[in-house]
Amino acid sequence: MKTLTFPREKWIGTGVKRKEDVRLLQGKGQFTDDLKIPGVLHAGLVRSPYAHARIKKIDFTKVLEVSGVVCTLTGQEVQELTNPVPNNLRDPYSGIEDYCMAVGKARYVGEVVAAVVAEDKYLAEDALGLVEVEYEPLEPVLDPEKALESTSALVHENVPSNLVWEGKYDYGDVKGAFDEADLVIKDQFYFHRFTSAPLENSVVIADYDERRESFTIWSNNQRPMFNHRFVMTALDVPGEKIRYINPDIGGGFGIKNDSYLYLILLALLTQRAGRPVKWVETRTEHLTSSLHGNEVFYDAEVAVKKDGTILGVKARAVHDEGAYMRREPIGAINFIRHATVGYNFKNLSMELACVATNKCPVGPNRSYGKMQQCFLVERLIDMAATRLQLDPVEVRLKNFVQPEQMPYETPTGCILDGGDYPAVLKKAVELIDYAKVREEQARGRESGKYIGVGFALGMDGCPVNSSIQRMMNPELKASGDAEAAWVKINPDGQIVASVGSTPQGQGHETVVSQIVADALGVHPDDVYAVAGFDSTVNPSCPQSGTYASRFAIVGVGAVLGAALKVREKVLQISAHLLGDVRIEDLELEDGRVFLKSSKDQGVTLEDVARTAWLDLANLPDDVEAGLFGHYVYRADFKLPVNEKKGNFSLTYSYAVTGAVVEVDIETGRIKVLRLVCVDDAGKRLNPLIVEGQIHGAIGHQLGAALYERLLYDDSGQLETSTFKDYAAPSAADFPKFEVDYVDNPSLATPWGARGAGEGGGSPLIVVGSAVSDALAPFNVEIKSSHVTPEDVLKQIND
Amino acid sequence: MSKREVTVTVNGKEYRREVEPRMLLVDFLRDSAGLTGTHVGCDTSNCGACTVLMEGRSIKSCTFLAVAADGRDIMTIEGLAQDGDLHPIQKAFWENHGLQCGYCTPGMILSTVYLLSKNPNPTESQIRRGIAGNVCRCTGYQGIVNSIQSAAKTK
Repeated sequence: MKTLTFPREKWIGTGVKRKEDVRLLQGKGQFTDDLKIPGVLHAGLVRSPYAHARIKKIDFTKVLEVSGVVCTLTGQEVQELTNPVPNNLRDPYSGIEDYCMAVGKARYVGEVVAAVVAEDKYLAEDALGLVEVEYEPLEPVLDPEKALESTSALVHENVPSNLVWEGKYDYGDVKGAFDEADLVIKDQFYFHRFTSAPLENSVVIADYDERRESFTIWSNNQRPMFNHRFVMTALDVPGEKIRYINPDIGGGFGIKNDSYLYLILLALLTQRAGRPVKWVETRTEHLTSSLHGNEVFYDAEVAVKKDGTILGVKARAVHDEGAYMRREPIGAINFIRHATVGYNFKNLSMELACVATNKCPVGPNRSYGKMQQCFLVERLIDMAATRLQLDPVEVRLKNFVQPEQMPYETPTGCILDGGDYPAVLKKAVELIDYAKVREEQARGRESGKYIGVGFALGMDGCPVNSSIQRMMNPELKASGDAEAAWVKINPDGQIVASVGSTPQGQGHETVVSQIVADALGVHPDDVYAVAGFDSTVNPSCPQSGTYASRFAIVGVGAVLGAALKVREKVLQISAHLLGDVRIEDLELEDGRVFLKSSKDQGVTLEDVARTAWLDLANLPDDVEAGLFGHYVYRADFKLPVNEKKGNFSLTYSYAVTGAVVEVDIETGRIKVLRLVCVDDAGKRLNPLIVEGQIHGAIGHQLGAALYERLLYDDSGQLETSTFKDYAAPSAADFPKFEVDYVDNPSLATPWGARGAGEGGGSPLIVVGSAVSDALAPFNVEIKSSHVTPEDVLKQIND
Repeated sequence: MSKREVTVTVNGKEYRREVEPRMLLVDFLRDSAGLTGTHVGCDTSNCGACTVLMEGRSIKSCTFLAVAADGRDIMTIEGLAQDGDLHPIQKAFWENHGLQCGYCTPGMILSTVYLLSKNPNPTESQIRRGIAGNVCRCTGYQGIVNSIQSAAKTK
């Protein structure tokens, strides 16, 4: 595989201020809802008020009397008009049908049951209230353990069980490890349901051109090209008949990966209405029915030696998947990429059970399945340290993969791409002033003040080797990951770059400019990076999009590859224009190509571009006209080693988070006094942007640990369906985050960057660790990823 | 539904429009006046993406009727930069990486304008409480707090 290297690293690695900010700061950003599409209609969606109910009848009589209502759509019609979106499951569960609307029965509160299209959004809202749906409520399936009992109602009646997928994955000698252990800790853990709730809800506009029989779909979906196969399968139209456009996107964090069903739905509505149709999700629709993060119930055991050596872990993980499997069980199987986090133990057994329930489907949420595995391993390590009366920092240092073991192969076959785990923890310990906090803790306890300190390691594998699908279904034959880009120099010398990514705040216009600037010896301001994504403008491949923190590897590779093609051609043409000099005698700097030996003898990039496009007779004979480079970068992935092992990411970002908390034992209130994070994202391509991403990941995880949860009641109603109830935290809820770095370039690419979208960190986990530490005198051990004052009080008083 | 005529001054310019009495101010700004810099994030006045200034005071335009703004003076994000020059608060957000996706940014900046108009030298905790009505999901608020601190210094 071709190795791409930067000819210089002048701009890459510097905190260039973001290009996109200029428009966003002035309200000139263009989000999907901001687009003015002539003649656009508005869709309103009727959603199920029941978790599980048969749809007996949908009556639009009153709706159709309202002036301004254009058309309607039901699930039954959807079933006639589209194919179900294929899933990842094995037979017979692959037969679970997922349409863009409920067909026959509704399977979770908020599932779309019918649609109404009207002249404006107020009318659409009015019309929704007039749709009469007759339901026959069924027993909701809400508890995944009970859902496994033979007497349970079925979420999908065309398959034999609610256990829609299961797998057992053993590595090393698990029995031996547990036989050898001095101590075995066995307990139950819970990773709660939450979402990243980007501030911009989902928005889709679709327009059908009857003459060309083609669709244009504007949306804030995070990866339309990845989802293209689902949309074209459902609509049964040739791929080239669908054009996708993403303007600016207001945050995604994984949740907008799987909004493809709305793209299908809006395509149907525009076709029926004969005019463009827009749909804007409300926050309540978003929280009830877009996508939730994976909710997992663990029965887990850890085997340890007296000295704190971790010998092995075994766990049964029951995933409460919600009503449809979307891209699952990837969230469950993704334990493989983070199986032992950064620890050295060799023996692991994971038993996975994915259970369909009458709740919102789950999927990527600030990574996909990573936080869950890190949470499990980290809580077990803390509990082991507590039971053995060892310092949790020492236990971690003892068990870390050591820098000299790099590149290190984990028991699941993942190859850790360098790094120094002990150094990262030590730096966090130093930053938090561990010894001093311990003194404060001891003093505090004398006066009834309960302070706790904890550390947790987080890891995030990026990008994803799609062959991981074979771990869950051998029939799925994809492998690797790729991204596409083009770079060109126009006849006037303007440099333009375009890539298949669909950023939602990651600043790709800026970083693309930095990459091209270094490849072509210019300033980032000399590069115009195409904003947004348009499938007829931007290059793409079936993996394209912005998800899984993949840009730092595949996005960079694609842009660099394309820019280097242009560079090569620039040098070729320059050598010819300068009188057949040798290419290796040329230098490219500040927009000029010149002889290394004589700086005055040179040509400008503009000269070269003009020649390449307009003065064609002056080109060397064997050179293609124009200055255009297209490159599809292929990440250096291999096929899996066997059905349970393989390297499923190229870079493994990691970070240690440390927290100091104070717990009020009268009220259970938890206050985070300090939050430090030491991160190793390798080479930070734009340190300003990376730091922002780390802050964001901390904020989101801290919010999830303390405030945010998606809570269902006994009838399957979501109780936290507004921002008020969901408790999205404000600035007043957070301390100042203290972020530092240890820089160990990734061994996976020449540019040494790791995916940094999630900050690699683990603030979600560290809260439980620090609260457990604070309340050690009461033998409190936090076993949930969400820590509430009520739970804390209950544990103190038990 | 019968319409009412309203005249709202937005960023110094008068907009006279026939509107339904139920029309929200945010829709008036976005759809009638064509100023799409004001965003909607939650529809329930929790997130502050729709924050604008009315007579210099911050309000959430998603829970304010356009008819109630009749005869009033509104400032939206589009009115902040003067003659193509970014306002010092906008500059501070740019320099301190106070935004990522940019969706909360207009509301966040207008809340900052209001905060600093009332308290030109806020402490960090006053800043955090001052913008507590504006939700950001990208930054963990750190870049935003840094930006506001920097803007307060340069003012």
